[in-house]
Amino acid sequence: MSKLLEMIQQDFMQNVLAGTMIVAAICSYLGVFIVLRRAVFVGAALAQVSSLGVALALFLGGFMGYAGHAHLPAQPFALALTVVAAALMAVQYRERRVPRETSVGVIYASAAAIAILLVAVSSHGESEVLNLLFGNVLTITFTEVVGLATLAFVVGLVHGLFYKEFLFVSFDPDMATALGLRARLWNVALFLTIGVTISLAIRAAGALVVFNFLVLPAATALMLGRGLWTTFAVAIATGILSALSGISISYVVDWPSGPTIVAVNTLLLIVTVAARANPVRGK
Amino acid sequence: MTPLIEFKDVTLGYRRKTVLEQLNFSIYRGEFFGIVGANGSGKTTLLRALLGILKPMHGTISGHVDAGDSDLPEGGWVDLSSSVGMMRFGYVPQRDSIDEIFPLTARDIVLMGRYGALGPLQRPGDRDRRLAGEKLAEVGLGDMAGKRYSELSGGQKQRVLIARALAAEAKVLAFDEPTNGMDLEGEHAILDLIAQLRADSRVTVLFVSHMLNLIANAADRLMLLHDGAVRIGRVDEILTAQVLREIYNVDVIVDQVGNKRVIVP
Repeated sequence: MSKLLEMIQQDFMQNVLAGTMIVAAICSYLGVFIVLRRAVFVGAALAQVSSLGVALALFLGGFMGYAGHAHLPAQPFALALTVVAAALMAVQYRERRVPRETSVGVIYASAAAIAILLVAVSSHGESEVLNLLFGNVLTITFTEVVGLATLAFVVGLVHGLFYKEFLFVSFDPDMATALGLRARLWNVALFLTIGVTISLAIRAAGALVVFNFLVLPAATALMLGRGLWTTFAVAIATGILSALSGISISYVVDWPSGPTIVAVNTLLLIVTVAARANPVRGK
Repeated sequence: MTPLIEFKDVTLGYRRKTVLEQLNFSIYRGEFFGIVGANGSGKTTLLRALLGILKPMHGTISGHVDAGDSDLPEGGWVDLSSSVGMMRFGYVPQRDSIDEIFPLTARDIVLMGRYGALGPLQRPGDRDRRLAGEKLAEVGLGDMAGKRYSELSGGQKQRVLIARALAAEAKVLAFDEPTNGMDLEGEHAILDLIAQLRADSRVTVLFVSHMLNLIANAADRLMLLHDGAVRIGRVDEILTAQVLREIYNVDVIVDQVGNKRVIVP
């Protein structure tokens, strides 16, 4: 208990807790759309594209003569590439020779490979590169917390205003079009919010933690089989609970925080699956 | 009869592949227009073009909107490909195309029929909710509003999708194979419901199916699609042994059992 008190009294840990909880809340909410649209792989591919943007910034920085710790600002590159990839993946097209997921797979594999190759030929140190590429919840700064809070506000506002359009084009784009909604435009808008979130969240919390929040809380919430609003609420609550308890456990027992958060989330999912398989009878 | 929708020199297809060519026909106000063809004959392509989901490669598809019915105050003809949503279609998709993973109730889905009438920033209000409830009652599911869509039977799911189309206060109901996978009782229940809706509101019905016998006794006019060939006419003109042989290249007997028309290969 004293260790937990010590944790929340430290400034840097307050940033870590606040930043991770914000990432958990936004990603768990958007994760419901991703899982319902069966686009989990899209989330993984966007994460790789974001990393490619960072690697590209490092490579170009070296190429243009930046040296040592100086480098081109990576975030604009990551954001731009992720936004373009999200817009491309949002466009529904008619499957011809290969299934639609194949193009997502191609983006995933090629973005990952090119990112590693760019890093290999850039002039920066490995640990610096890894931190830039993959982020780490323990390095979240106050500035990043402010940035994440702004992101949460913007995503929350856009989804609050256009929730019904995002839901309709996700559920039945043909009927949405027949009733005059511009399904393609709304799809792109939805994927842009997902792309921007993934890009910014990864830099703060790392790919593993972000991908975890995009999938596991939504899966847990859907397992409970309630209505849509309850699903969103349970997903967000599950994400925040995993973030808080994961970071607390990792601090107390000195485990790596990212994997601990994922482990807690997995445990919650297993408990939910088990509870559904063996419902409590009686009363 | 007054035309409601007109196809003029319309060619439909995807990229370089043409599916249907030189379509020239009208759909009339209040009629039951059946579109029959095997899988791949182009009937879904035709429906998608009507709904504005697919733009024609050539030609125009126009619809007549009534005064005060849309953004066009005086009413008139509009190009359906460039003014999608102007003429409100109540699309009833194949129920297999709806992803049941969404945790939505029957009411949630019917309420989506109202979304086209609401602006981007508007939320469904009391009137929309009341209308959704009324439409569910109209299709016989008044007591199922709070039930999850995935827990409904096949026939009930189809009725929810019909209620959603009705909630859009559509002038045209477009059904895509609504009786697929249903037993005889389910098929007839859906056709009876459509007949009832037509009697109540004189709504125009477009009904896409691959089952000639099913549509033979329900439609006013038929469009037969086969290998790129198109034949349109009144049911008694189209469903003759001679026409069916010309289109399908098989000998059939068209007979009457009671007051029902049957086609036997």
